[in-house]
Amino acid sequence: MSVNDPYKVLGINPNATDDEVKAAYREMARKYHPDNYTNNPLSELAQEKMQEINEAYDTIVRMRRQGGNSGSYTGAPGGNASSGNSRYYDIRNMINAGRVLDAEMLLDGVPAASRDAEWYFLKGSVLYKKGWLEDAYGHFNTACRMDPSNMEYRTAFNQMNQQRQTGGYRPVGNPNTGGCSGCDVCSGLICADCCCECFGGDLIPCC
Amino acid sequence: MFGYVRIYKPDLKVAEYEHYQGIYCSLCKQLGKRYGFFARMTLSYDFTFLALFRMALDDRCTGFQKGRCLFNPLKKRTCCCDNDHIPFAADAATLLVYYKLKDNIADEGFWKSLPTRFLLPFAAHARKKAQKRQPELEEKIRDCMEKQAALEKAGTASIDAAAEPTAQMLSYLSAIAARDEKERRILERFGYCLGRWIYLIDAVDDLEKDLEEGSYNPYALSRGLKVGDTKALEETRRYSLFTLNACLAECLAAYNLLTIRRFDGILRNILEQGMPSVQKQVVAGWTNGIKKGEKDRSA
Repeated sequence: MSVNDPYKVLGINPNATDDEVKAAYREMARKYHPDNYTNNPLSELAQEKMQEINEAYDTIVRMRRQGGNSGSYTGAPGGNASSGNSRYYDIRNMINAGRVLDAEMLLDGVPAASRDAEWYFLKGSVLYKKGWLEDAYGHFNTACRMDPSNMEYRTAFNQMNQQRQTGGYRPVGNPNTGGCSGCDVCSGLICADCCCECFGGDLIPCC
Repeated sequence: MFGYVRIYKPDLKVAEYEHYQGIYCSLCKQLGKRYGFFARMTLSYDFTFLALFRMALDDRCTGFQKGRCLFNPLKKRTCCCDNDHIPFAADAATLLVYYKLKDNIADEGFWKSLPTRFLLPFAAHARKKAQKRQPELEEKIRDCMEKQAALEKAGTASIDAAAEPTAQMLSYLSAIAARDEKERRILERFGYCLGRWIYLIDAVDDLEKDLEEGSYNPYALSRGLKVGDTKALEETRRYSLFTLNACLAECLAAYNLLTIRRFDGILRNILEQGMPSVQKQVVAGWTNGIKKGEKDRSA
C-alpha cells in the first residue's frame, strides 16, 4: 500500500458498504476531474489527487474481493493473464459489470501523459459499448499501434475491421452468393480432371 | 431521413411479400383513421419496419384478412388485423414527421420552405393528437431534435456525437416493446445502432447537397471536405461505407440475440439485404434512385 489508509483517502469509514465506497469514490473523482482544472496552474496537483483516489479505490476493491464473496466476481471475458495485475483492474471490472459511464469517467480522469496501450483499449471498449463506433475503432487502432504484440487489443481491432469490411450481411447481387456458380462448376471439373490425370485416368478426354 | 429501411424485393418470398404489404396497407389505413386523410402521405418504409418488428416480438399473432385499398380500389388486398403495434407506429410516424417538417423549415430559406410551411398546420394538428396518445415518446423526440439542432449549430465534427441524438431516440423507441430486462438491453442496442445507421446514411445521401449549400454535414466536417474536391469526396464516400457497415453489423449482432416469433425472413431480408443494397446505392451516389424511389405507395 503506497498511500496511507485508503478509506481515509476516500473520506469514509472501513465498515462502509460497497455502494457507499463506490458513491464516495465517484463523488471524489468528479471533484478532481481534470476537466475542472483545464489551464489551471494547480492542475498537476489535481492529477496527483486523482491518482491517489484511484489507487485507494483500487486497493479497497481488491481487499474486499480477497476477503470473501468471491462467488459474485466474474472475471474479464477473454482477458489475458496480465489483466489481473493491471492498473485498470477496477475499470475492467466496471466495464464487465456494464457500468460503462462510470468506467468512462474514470478513464477520462487518467492524465493524457500517462495513457498507455491498455488505456486506449479500455476507452475503445467503453466507446464501443456506447455505440460510438468510429471513435472506438480509432482507439483500438491506437492500442494496437502502441502494443502490437497484445492479442486482446488485436482481436478487438480485427473484429471491428471485419465488421467494417463486410457488414455481416450477405452480399446482394453477387453471382457467387449461392456458393457454386457456373464458373465454380467448370473450374471444379478441370481440377478433378487434373487429379484423375495424375493417377493415370481421365475425366474430360479432350483436355 | 425516411425510407432507407426497406425490403430487398427480389429475394423475398411471395408469402413474405404479402405479409409485408399487408402491414404496409394497415399502417396507411391506421394513419388515415387516426390522423385524417393527409396523414396517409406520411406513410413510409421505416414505420412499416417498426410495426413489423414489434409484431415479430409479440407473443400473440392477430393474423391477416382481405380488405380494400383506397388507392387501388379494384383489387382486394391483404391487410393485417387489429393489434397495438400498427397504431403505435402511426403515432410515432406522425410525431417524427412533424418534427422533421419543422426542422426542414428551420434549415431552408423562406421561399424554398414555402410548400413545407403550407403543410405544417396539418402536421401540427396531427401532432397534438399523437402527443396525447404518446406523451413520453413525444418528449423524447422533441428532446432529440433539440439536441440535434444544438449539435449542428455548434458545428460538431465528430460523427459519433452527431449521430448520438437520433441513435438514442431510436434506442428508446425500440426498447418500449421490451418485456424483460434482458430484452430491453438488446433492443436498446439494436435501436441505437439502427438509429445511428439511419442518421449516417441520410448524411451520406445529403453530402453533396450539403457541401454545395454549405449546410451542416458530419462527414464533410470530420473529413474537412471542400467544395469541388471530387477526389476527397470519393474518398469520403468510400470511408462512409465502413462506418455504415459497422452499424449494420452491430444491428445484426443484437438482432441475433432476440427471440423473434415471426417474420424473421422479412426482417432478415431488410437487415441483411435491403439495407445493404440501399447503402450501396447511396454510397455510390445514386441518390436519385433512392429519393425518387420513395414512392412508397406504389410498393
